[in-house]
Amino acid sequence: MSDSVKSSLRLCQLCNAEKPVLKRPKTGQRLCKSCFYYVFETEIHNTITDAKLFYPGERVAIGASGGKDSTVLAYVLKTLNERYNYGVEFVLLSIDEGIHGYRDDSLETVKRNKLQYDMDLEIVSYGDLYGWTMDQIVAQIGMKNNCTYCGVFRRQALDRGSVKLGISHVVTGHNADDMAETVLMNLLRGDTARLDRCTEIVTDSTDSPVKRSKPLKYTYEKEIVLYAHYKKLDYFTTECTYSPEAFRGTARALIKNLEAVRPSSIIDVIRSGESFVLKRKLQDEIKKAAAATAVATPATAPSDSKVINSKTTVPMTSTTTNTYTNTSTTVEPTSTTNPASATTSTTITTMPKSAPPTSTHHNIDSKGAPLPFTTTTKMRGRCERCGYLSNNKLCKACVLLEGLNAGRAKLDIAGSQDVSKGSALLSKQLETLSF
Amino acid sequence: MTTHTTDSVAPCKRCQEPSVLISRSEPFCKKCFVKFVQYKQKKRMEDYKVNYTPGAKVPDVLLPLSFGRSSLALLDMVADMLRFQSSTHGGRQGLHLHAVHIDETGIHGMDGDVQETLQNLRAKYPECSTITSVKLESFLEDPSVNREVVKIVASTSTVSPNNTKELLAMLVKRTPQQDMLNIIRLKIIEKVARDLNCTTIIWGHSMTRLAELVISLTAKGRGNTISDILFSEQSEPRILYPLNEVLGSEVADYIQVQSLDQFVLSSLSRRPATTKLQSIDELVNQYFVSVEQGFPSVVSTVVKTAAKLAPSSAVYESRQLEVSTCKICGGPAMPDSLEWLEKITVNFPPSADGLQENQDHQESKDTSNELCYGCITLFKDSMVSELNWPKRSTKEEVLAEYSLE
Ligand SMILES: [Zn+2]
Ligand SMILES: [Zn+2]
Ligand SMILES: [Zn+2]
Ligand SMILES: [Zn+2]
Repeated sequence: MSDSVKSSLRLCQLCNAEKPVLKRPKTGQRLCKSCFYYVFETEIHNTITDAKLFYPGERVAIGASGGKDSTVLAYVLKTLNERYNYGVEFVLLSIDEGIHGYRDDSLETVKRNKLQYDMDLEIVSYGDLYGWTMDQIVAQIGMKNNCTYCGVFRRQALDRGSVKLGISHVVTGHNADDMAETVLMNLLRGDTARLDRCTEIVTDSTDSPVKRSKPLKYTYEKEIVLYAHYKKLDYFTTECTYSPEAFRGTARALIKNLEAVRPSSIIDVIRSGESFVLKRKLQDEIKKAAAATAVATPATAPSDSKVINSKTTVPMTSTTTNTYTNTSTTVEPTSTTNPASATTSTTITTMPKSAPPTSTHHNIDSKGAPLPFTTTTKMRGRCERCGYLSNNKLCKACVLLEGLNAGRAKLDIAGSQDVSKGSALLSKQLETLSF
Repeated sequence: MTTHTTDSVAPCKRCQEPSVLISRSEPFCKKCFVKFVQYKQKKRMEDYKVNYTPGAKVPDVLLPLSFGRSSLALLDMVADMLRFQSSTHGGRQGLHLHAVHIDETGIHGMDGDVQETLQNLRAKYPECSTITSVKLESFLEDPSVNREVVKIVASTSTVSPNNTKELLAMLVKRTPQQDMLNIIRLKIIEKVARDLNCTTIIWGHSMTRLAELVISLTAKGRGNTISDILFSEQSEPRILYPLNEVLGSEVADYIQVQSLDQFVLSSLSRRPATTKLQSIDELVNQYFVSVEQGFPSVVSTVVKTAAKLAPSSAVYESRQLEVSTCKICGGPAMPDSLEWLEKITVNFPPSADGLQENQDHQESKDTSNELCYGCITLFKDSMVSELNWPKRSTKEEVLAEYSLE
């Protein structure tokens, strides 16, 4: 190796000026601090703008656990919000599961984050909401299935916390490793229902008034660790004391090995996951397309066609060119019958036009706030006991609570009159909900 | 393999004779086990019955033979099927079987003599129309073979590979090397199928191997082709996996009870002991070996789940996506692959915003549009860390080289 090559190897492989301080896990490149920060943040920004995740004026809750993922998420979102003028108001939303020694300390971290990042903080506790802490639940049911309880309760707690804050969008710290793991898990466990949707950045649930999204879906866990380390972010390191099931561990180990032999494996798995289309869904798609061409109705055209005509530049979208032209090319200029988009082109912040099209499934009123548990989602029913969205008489949380309250030691929802799904399926569906 | 060594032998569940092995928790005697496995193969190949229609052409079927257990087991089963057809239909057969081995001894050694083994197989299976071998090197020697691969590999480097061995060496790491080897093997098999007018290719893959393929294609960013490769219903020639319901362990049992061990040859290019040096295929293989014990249903779950995926061509057609053919593997090449990658793997320093980013896109797009995501990844991996696409010469470079001013 010549001397000139040797000396160039000592410099950052992107800027060729600074001394590299780390080997980038995603690519193996040796980078200086500022280049690493830049690519790390820019990739998240690209993910956000590409998915049109936020709209100016939106209030968004960050599901904050005090762990590295959600801490980095909060820090980066604050940074990008200021750098690119997203115009979004971020709020920290924390769940207190009542796990002594784990959650006590992590909540302290979140409370410090509130001050560090100058964001509001809302804490919803299992104890207040359900009358049971996770410690009490585990004391009653043992270590088995406790992730099922935690999953059901957390999901509803997040929804309730959001509704309380008047927020209809929660971002969570799911990272690329989590996504890749989920793709493989769905294949390995035959979870067809989720196979083609698990990589979507926005999770649109029929039984939740709140939209969930994952801005870190392409961000490597190792890079989150490095970023938090070099930025000296204040986060809590201990894992949940109630660990998940063994089989997921095998998938995690496989991904670790794949990443070791080919660093891009994690995004390669996600790329594969994004390409999965179920035959069944494709048939529906083809049928729908055929029906749509048969009856060409202008009223069904997307209402954001006007945005490109607007002279107002939304700061957040100005960095990505042609964000809207894809959808607008198929739209007739005269087709807009939506009153919101018929208004003048200056009122750009009144409607969530820059929000992803899926957000129309949610009951967002003109201020972007959800109406508490009154909904236009497919889920029409309400839980008789607590009012939460549910197709059954009792929602899942109330079913679990009934069992707990009756002092039953076993999770026996399969036999319950209200829940048609088996407990295995239920736990399967709930497993990925944690943040 | 659960072969009995003690005398406390459970009777075969099907005929009450003493059993020799247990498969799917059922004790089998040799005869019933062979029948059980062959039934699965025959069911898959029931289209290849003896055809009495006057003037009907007997189809030529190609069986790629690696001398691994699965392809040998399939050869044995199809030969048995032909023997049976011939004896019950007055010498008629439902298909002409051509077995072809790709001789890779120019790349890596084998733990046995390839030509001798071929001889022995010809003697053992006279029902086979041909049992031949073709050299891996033919891929580059034959002018009719697609030379794009060499062109593209050469364009990523300063030297051009002169032969297959050099080509593989240029890919540096084990995963891209094995990927390229697999692509080359497929291209050779396709060519042999054309040369022999075969309308069907039957692969020996067991269910376990298919599950491994699903996961390893997913891991390599080739998930969009799972349905095309594994469950293709209308490819030309037709692709069949007759052992797709036979477990890897059952193939091993079959080889043993049929005394076919002597024909099994393996490559001397062994799996490295350290995980970090193994290929993705090897890692995935190991994963299934370890997970199958604790979770025996995983293999069939993966295959059944993957079978629900739609073929890529149907997806692209329905979504009106223009997709070209990958210059390396021949699979679908999405036009957005490199753009997607660059958005989530930013490759320029803070100062070089905006313009430069767009320029990079323009320059690299030319080549990358011709490659699928999986092949882009293959080359990216083999070039140590940097994605260094051959770029078209800039105006300045052209002027510097050609202008005489
Ligand atoms: Zn740098
Ligand atoms: Zn309820
Ligand atoms: Zn028997
Ligand atoms: Zn390709």
